[in-house]
Amino acid sequence: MKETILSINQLSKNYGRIRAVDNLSLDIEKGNVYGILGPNGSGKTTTIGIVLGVINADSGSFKWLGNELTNKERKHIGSIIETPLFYPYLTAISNLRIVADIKGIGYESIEKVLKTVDLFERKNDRFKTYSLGMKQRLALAAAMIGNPEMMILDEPTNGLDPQGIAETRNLIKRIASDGTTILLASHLLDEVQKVCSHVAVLNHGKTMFSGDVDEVLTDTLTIEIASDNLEELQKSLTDFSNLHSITKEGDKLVVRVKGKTNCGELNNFLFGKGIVLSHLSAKKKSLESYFLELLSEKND
Amino acid sequence: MIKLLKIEYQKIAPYKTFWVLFGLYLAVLGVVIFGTQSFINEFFVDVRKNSPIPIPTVSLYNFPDVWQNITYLGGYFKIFLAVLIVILVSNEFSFRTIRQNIINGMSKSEFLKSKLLFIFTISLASTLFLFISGIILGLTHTTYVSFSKVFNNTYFLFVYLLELFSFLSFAMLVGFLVKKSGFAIGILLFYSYIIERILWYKIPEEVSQYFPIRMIGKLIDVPNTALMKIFGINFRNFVNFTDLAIVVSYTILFVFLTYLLLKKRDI
Ligand SMILES: Nc1ncnc2c1ncn2[C@@H]1O[C@H](COP(=O)(O)OP(=O)(O)OP(=O)(O)O)[C@@H](O)[C@H]1O
Ligand SMILES: [Mg+2]
Repeated sequence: MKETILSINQLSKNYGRIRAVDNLSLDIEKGNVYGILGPNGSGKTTTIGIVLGVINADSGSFKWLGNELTNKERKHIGSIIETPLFYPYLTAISNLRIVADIKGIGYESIEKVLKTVDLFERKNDRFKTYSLGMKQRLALAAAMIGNPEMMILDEPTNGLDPQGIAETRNLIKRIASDGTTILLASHLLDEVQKVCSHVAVLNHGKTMFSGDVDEVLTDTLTIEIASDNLEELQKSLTDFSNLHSITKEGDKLVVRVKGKTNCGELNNFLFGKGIVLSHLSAKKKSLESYFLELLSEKND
Repeated sequence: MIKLLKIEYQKIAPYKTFWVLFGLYLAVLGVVIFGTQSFINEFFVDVRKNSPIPIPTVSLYNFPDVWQNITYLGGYFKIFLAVLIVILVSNEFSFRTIRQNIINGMSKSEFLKSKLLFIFTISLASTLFLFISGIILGLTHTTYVSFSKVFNNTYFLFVYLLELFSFLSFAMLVGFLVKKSGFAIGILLFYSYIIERILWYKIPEEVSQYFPIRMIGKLIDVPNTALMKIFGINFRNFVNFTDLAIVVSYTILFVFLTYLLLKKRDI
């Protein structure tokens, strides 16, 4: 098993009557790329703010490598929260020097990270003269200073042009392939799909789902079935070769089957075992449809 | 410590607003300190002509009196520095760079420490400015200069340093509390010059004499010049130890409250 870097345990945070984070638990393992996916206002930024120690949680706890958060951990994490935060009257270089000084590392990597995000030419311009996309790039550069062991990126492609978005995603993948653990918050499904290995879907501060991105995105078909004897039904299903998972929901079983399997095959299989279904309905529920459902719920 | 100070320096080095205001402060301070004596004497030229009793010319710059005189005068201008501190602190909130500083690995107490170091440095700079001014003025105005005469009352400089540091800690607290620079400056001025002054009259002297701005302001009392003596007013020409202790306690309280704010609030 991989080492757990960050372990979040039943975290909650209220803003007045708004429950921004609701009993959230999540484990982050070393070397993985995690996506926190959720619509606007679902609590992504709040969660990140809490684990980085700038927002106080109301209840719950979190541990970094089993310990309380101190500034020592933060020095090894490159983070962006929400929007790029820099001194507007300072140049890119000066701003990054402050970051390096806080982290207690030399200035050697500054030029390199500026080149990586394509800002080297503008390094002596003041932050306030930058465009939104350039500001976002500078934030990314700041997060990369000193090759941190982990990066926490809250909407890192916000405000970038299509080329910038593609470059940034590739950059994140490249950094991840060097073994850097990454936590990426985004409201874009596409982004999480392209970049992350794991995902936690958030809505109203709750984890709706969390797991392996590939697993979620493999074409699974969700089928609801029922018969007179659910126990017998469940037992017979374990022999079904393309079975992915079974969960019981009330008087029905929700079955996920892999790949190209369809309802007919499942029905045939059970019929062969002498089981007659009283209910059968197919629901495609990939992460995408799941997420879209979440979004449309919000718009209601 | 050096590291924190260096970070603070990086934050302000190219910040024009800061240097313009600080330069202005030193300029005003210099003009006032070097000009007050002749201003008073000029002012009294006409009065002197018509006065039945002889009015002496004032001399403020003799060793060792010069130290109390200039530190007393300098005390009036600490508000300039306080405004500067409020601007710098509230900037950290409006740019939200405090958030980024902490995320990058500065602890909250380090952040506070860096601001305190900065406040101390600014106070020290102003004190040094007075020290140099005092030496120049004293040497050019004192007839018989001796070592003890020069340095006897230099403790006023240390008291001045405390006066500034304490007041600037108060300004820092206001900055942390209010976060918006315009609003924070308003509150600072309003409290220091209006609210507390009204309270001095509304609340019995036994209590109101211990109010923070008042305590800080009266560490160094009005100097007894020859002029005062003819009005029969006699001020303290020494520093009261109890006053010092109270002001130190206030300073600790300001810093502690700032720390609590920083700890308890979301950033
Ligand atoms: N400082 C605050 N004061 C009051 N409410 C807040 C504050 N910060 C966040 N909230 C509320 O908490 C909820 C979660 O906000 P959060 O910023 O964590 O969402 P998010 O998932 O990051 O959204 P987005 O995709 O828009 O960035 C929202 O309902 C928001 O209105
Ligand atoms: Mg957000």
